[in-house]
Amino acid sequence: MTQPTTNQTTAASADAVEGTSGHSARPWRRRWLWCLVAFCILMGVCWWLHPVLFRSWGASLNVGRPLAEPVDVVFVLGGGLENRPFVAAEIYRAGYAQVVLVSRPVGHSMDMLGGASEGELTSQILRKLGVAADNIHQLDVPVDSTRGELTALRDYIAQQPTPPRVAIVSSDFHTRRIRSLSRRILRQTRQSVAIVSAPTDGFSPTNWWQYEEGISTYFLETVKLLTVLLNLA
Amino acid sequence: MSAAIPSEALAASNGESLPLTAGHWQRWRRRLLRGCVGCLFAGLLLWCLHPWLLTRLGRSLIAGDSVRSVDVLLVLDGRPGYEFAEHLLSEGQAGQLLLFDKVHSRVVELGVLPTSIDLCRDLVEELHIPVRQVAELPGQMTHLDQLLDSALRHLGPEQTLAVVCSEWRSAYVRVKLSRAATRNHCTRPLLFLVDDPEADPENWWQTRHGIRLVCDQLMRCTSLRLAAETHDASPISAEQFRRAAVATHEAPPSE
Repeated sequence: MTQPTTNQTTAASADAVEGTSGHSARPWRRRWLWCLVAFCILMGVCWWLHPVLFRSWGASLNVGRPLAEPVDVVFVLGGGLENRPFVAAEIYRAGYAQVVLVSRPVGHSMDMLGGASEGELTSQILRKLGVAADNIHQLDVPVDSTRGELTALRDYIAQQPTPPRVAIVSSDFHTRRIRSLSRRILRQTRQSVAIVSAPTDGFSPTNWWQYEEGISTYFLETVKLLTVLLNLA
Repeated sequence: MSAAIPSEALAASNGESLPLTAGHWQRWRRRLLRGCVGCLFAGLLLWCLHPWLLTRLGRSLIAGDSVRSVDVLLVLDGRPGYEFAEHLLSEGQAGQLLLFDKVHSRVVELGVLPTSIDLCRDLVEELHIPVRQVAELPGQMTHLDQLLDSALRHLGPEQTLAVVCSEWRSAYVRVKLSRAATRNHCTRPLLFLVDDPEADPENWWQTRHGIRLVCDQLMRCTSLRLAAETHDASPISAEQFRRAAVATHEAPPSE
């Protein structure tokens, strides 16, 4: 009586371990079920925590701070006519900088800027906001990326008799990428730069996922930051 | 028969924990190897298919209608859009061009940039579009939904509207058009597309501009489905700019 019972038990166990018969589908099914349950729980937790997660991501992209020390040059990056020159002008007006440096971004065919280039418009805004025309310098090289702008800044610094202290003004979501790139590109000049965040109209690091423009901007910024961190560009 | 059964199976059947044997490691190594080969194969396949896949992705954002006669045109994107509208008006395929003003940004308020409607008027004049074929929508538009609603309300009975936009924005604009048509209880306006000379659906991933466009539009289409807010009406104040600029508003610390 005992012999067949032992054989049956051991055969079933062997099948389960070796996975050679129809019975082997059962543990796999159970595993898939567990994976599915775990995935659903994870998604639920993510949904529940999404404001915290997205806010943290927004905060981690925004590494710029208001200036605490005066600098020699404030560099305004292109791509944010509605906010970046305004912060640069405030720095100048507060007496924290003598010179505002403007980049020269290349235009695109769909832009509606009335024939003027973005660099010219930035200079005009600065003048209207009280920056003396003599104190607005424009980079010579047309650029199409943040990397290009920082490379042009490096060349500008190299041309100066004494390396100036520089503050870079850009949109809040853009500042982490600037920090990564400036550490790499401005390393040769041994110049540490201050980074100042300009607030963005319509959304902020604390609520960007609630707005269409914010979702698009932060996603694109994440992709760009990854390309910088992985050195793909 | 029982001699052929592995010892670990016997242990498992008796409820004992299984010791890790050479057989286990071999099995795991085999699985790992299989996984690596699978990943390599998938990577190779993706690499071979990436032009096709990315072209499909780009094309999924392009959703226009074939050009036909309409009564009213509304241009959303830049100079190429107005050039296309001028072509349709001169060919007699459209009767009227609608111009609109956007809400004035602080750069416009400063007097650095002309208003949106002034830019449009200048373009219309430059392209020699007859004044009798041009109409202006009242008010300043804060977002696309408001503009489309306003344009649809401007239409007379039985009049048809076509929106001209860049091909890359078309999937997004199409959804907006459908929603506007539902809101205003009318048929969906047509969507005519203009090419963006700087980004081609066949190779958009080879240029920064193309990648930027596609990522932007993919996220906009996604956010439409996530029901994200279109806009936030509260602009940044001068005080917020001041606080962002310097840590203190007193005189700068002496050097």
